[in-house]
Amino acid sequence: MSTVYTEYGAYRPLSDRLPEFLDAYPPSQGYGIEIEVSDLLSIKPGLRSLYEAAIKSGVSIKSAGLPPLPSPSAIIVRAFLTRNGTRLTSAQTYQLVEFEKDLECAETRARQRLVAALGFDGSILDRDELVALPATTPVQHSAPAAADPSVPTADAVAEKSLEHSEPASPALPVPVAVSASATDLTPALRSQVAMKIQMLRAAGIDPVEPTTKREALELLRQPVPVKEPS
Amino acid sequence: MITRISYTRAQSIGTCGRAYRFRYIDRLEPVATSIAMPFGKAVHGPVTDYVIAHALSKPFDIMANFEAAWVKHTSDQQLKYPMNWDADSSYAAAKRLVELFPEAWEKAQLVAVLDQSGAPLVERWLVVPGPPGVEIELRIDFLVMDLRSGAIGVLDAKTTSAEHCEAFGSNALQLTTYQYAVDHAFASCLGPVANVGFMEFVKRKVPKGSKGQGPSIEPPTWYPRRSDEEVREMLTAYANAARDIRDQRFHRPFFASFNSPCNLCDYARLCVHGDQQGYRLRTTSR
Repeated sequence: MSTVYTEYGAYRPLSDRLPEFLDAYPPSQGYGIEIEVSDLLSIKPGLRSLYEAAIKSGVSIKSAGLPPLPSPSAIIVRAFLTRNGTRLTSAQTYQLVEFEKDLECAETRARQRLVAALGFDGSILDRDELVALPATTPVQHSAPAAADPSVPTADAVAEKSLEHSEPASPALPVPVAVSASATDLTPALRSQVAMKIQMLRAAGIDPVEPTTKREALELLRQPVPVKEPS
Repeated sequence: MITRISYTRAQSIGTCGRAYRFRYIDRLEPVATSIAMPFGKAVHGPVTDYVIAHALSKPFDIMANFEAAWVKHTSDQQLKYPMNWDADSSYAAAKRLVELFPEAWEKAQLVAVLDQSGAPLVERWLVVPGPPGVEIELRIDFLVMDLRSGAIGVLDAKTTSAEHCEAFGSNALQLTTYQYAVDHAFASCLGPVANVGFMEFVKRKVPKGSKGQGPSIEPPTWYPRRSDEEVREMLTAYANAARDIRDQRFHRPFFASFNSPCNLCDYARLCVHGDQQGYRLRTTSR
């Protein structure tokens, strides 16, 4: 078992869980995972009908009092467990497709949520509910306060970085030494962090050197106090 | 012999060999300049200076900078305006775009990447080796980092009257060139560029009342990193453009009535009628 330690805690990648999943739901017995990509309106059929009615009657969406159309970049990816073509259960995820690999990331995320929902590690569905309760969560690092759909995942080159966006499973063993997160600092992040630290130090602030991507991005967002001209 | 060629030159000879010859070989330029160029410069200058100041956490008065830039770029020359535009409406639209920029930049959650000396990679002039016998020169607008993902991308700012379409963005050799050059110059310290894209400043007249859209700054449109094959194709395009220049193949292009570049060409009168009135010899290098 290979556990990845992310800024959200420990996480067991999908690729690690797939063999067990395939043993339980073997393709030889007709099981499979089907992926379906749709736009955001597919999960809002009522709103979609209102848009359709407004457009057909020549009324602008704004004057009809409807919210602006969702971003064309927004997609919903659903993963279905199927047997002999019949859909048995599903999981889904939302993604803005703006950067390289966004679609692939969403596909993997939908898959892993389905696999987790079927009992193969990652009680992520429970953790989604726990996001608002950081004081009681058993994970050391705070989970994101709320899912921000606008957050792009441009450098999510591999499945692992995609998977980091999922909160960790509290059922996973607590890591003995959490130091692996330094690996998610890209050369660009490392160089920009070094520059930012220099700027902050010049302004009289001694920042803590980040060890994770999340910390690095927080540091880069930190304003540098402007020195008053003497 | 090395031929040094910029994206602008390659685009020019790719569009029309005769226009290339008039501009770069005969060094002719129209006496009256389209407002598009000074308009773009008057917006671009304050915006790039703002991005530099933002990256270095320095205070910056973008509007004061704009006023100076507008005067600098629109004075002492004869300007041509598109239909329904004049000096006042152009000034108002440019001013509005510059006013909108700080908020648009904040929303984009981007910061200019700093080079190893701590200088923002904004308006950076680069010369990189191209295909055999060719050097490519270019100026990138911004190399930025997305503060939500940590990804770096080359962003080109455009003042335009119409937003570009996705097919253009996906195919634009300009962005491929930028990616190639930035990778060549900075990949050893920053890693490869993740995305390339455009940020568009859409020129519209400032509405007189509360209705109407007015000028706008669109959020950056990003495209995934170009593939190795796309980069190779781009290099071939530069090799062909350089060969055309070396062999002096300055011919008319293949085009159809519906997509003729002639109606937008500064040299149409000279090209079609041989009329040299309205042109002068350019004294500055380009």
